[in-house]
Amino acid sequence: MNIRPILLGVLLLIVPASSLAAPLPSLSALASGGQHVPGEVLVRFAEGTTARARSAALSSRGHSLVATLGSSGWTQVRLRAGQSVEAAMAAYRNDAAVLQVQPNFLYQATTAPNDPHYGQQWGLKNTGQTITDALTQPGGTALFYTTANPGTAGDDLNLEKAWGHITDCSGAVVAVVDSGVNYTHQDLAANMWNGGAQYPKHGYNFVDGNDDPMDLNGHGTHVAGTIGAVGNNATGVSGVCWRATIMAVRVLDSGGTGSTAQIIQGITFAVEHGAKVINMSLGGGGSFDPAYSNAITAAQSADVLVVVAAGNDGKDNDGTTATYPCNFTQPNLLCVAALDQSFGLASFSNFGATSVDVGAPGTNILSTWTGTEVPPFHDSLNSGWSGSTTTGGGWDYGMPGGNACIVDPSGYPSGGYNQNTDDRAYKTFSASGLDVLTLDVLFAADIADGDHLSAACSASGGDPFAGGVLLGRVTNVATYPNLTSLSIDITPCESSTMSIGFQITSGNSSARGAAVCGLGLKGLAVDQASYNTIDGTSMATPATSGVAAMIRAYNPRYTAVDTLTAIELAGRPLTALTGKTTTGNAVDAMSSLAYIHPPTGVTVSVQ
Amino acid sequence: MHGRGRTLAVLVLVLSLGTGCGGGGGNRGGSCSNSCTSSGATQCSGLQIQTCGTDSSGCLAWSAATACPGTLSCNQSRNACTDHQVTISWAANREAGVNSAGGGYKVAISAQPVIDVPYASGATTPTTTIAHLPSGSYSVTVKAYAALDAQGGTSGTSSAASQSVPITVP
Repeated sequence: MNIRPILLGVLLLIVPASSLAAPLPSLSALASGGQHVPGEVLVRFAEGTTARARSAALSSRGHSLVATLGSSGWTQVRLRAGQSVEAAMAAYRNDAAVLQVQPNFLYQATTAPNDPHYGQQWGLKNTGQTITDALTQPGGTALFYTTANPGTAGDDLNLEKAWGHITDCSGAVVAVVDSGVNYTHQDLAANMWNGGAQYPKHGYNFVDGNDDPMDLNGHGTHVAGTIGAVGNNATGVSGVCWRATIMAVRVLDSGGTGSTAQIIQGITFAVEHGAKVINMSLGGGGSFDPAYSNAITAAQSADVLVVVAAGNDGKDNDGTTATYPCNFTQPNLLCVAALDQSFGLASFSNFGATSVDVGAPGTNILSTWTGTEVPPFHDSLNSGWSGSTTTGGGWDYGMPGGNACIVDPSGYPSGGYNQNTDDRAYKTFSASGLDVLTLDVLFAADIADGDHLSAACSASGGDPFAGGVLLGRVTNVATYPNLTSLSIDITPCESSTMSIGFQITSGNSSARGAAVCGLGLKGLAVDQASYNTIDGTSMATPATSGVAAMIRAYNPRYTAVDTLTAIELAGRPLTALTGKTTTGNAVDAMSSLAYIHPPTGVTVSVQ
Repeated sequence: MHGRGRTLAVLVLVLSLGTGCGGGGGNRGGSCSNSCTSSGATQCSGLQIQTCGTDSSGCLAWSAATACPGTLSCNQSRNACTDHQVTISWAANREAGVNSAGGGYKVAISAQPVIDVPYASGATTPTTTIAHLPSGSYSVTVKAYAALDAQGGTSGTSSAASQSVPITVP
């Protein structure tokens, strides 16, 4: 999963009413150098120039009066047919009665949503602001991506101009193939796909095989918010699309892991249920995966655009190790790198002159989150543990390497566990009100072949190996002196009297044993109003998917390849992406919206 | 118009009576065998043209074939020196802006005025236009355009040109 969490915790949005900004219409010149009304100029006559003299000045040049602009001294003038604005301005410049002359410039209202945290969404509108929102998180220091924060004004998706033409992308269904989506979130509920009676929860869950794709990680909800958090609702944040149709397809578990089988089922579901864009902010390295590739090809046949992440290893995907799905080559596949707040390539972002296509904002990205994360609890591992043994040895407290651990045998790493033993250690914890409870373990284990180190939990407490839930077991391993980390979903054991335990069982053999030197619990409580600021190519990908949905909704006849081409060719050229992507361009929503393909299929017949 | 036509008919009749010849094609025993029927009429001979006129015998006959003036050539269906009708077609663009008010296509034929094919009504802008071209070799390209520009304004945007298609008008 291509995510770099920069803050583990919850972004609590405590927003005073006074901070709910009103809509922000503004006037801006359409271009430097200016677009102007053809056939017109504005002329400012010297004070005291009579109306008759003004009229004569105009008529002598073949011009006519359109309007006198109040008492400003300015006169709006219509030129004679065929005369350019430049020529007309030159004609007035040597007239002593004329103080100034200029084009009648064109302006337009730009459009900004009234969501209270829009000002922190630099990817949508970069004013050179410093991103600070996650500092409101409780419990510690936020670890922001510190490069280019603040960044450079104007280095963004160029959305405000695009929003002047379209904010409703709901005509193009976007499937978020990810860890699910919190479809009850206050900024997402109104923009979820309507799956009818068959899919009442707006998608499908291929992790658990049911119709509830609720996000138990946060990643998918963050992605969905970037694409289509309800905009201009005076709540939270805005998506690239203010109105969207988001299909939730859960293929990653609460730990953010999914298999080829789950992913291709997710892609197939999205294709079969009308998605026009699939967002896949996920990836893995190494080998070509033919089943995965076939699913992308099926999406191509169904005219579905697939937008994927470049990866977060800071490496060249064209090098020795490819990153999939980015390195697939189907024409409906668009791979996205992450840009920082000054449109430099983010330090963690993968790149590839033949595999990565465009860049988009991917650092310090504020978006929706699935719920409140309970700050991790870490056990001291030096008290409160109960134990049992069938051979007189068993678990004990120890200090291998100077760290507090529970160990078996007691002299670990010297000696070894007993033969034909069953040694257990367990402790009672309390956890409630959570939707996800995760156990993080740091351990070393040397276990002989056929012997086992096991972990278990029990909701009812006591010895978890007596009727509890077996979480995992290993055999024939030798990790000492290295420590191995493991995250396990123990939600089924959640209770106020739950227990967690470890066990070594052996036959006629022995080995060095085991040490558990880190044990933490962290929880997630799904809610409807959480937000988070994180970074990754996972965040750049939905920014691009949102723009893709916008373009397909604006141009309903567009194909997936039309959309991809408009994004690629109408992007903003960046030095930072030159030679590192296929286009060298950053995504530019307005330019892509205005892009026109060269006509094709020209035929000529002579009669 | 009708009155002048009758006058010309009478004049031809008077001339015929004056020469004692039926006109054109050779005087055989005082009667003409005309190879054409109306003085001034034209017909094609390949890309060249012939004109009906009075020959040395006083009869109506086709002149020797002569080249058409300038770059024109003889149009078989019209029996006259004309340019040629050229039909240019292309695939419809899928941009909404091309197929709505302010959108359309511009057809460029080398050394000829650009032909504007604007959106008029309905779902799509026309994708065919007709030009009349004298003989020669040409290249044809098509651009699509829309009112929306890349700055979000309405000053218009044009596509790059299509691939150039060469044509030869005989």
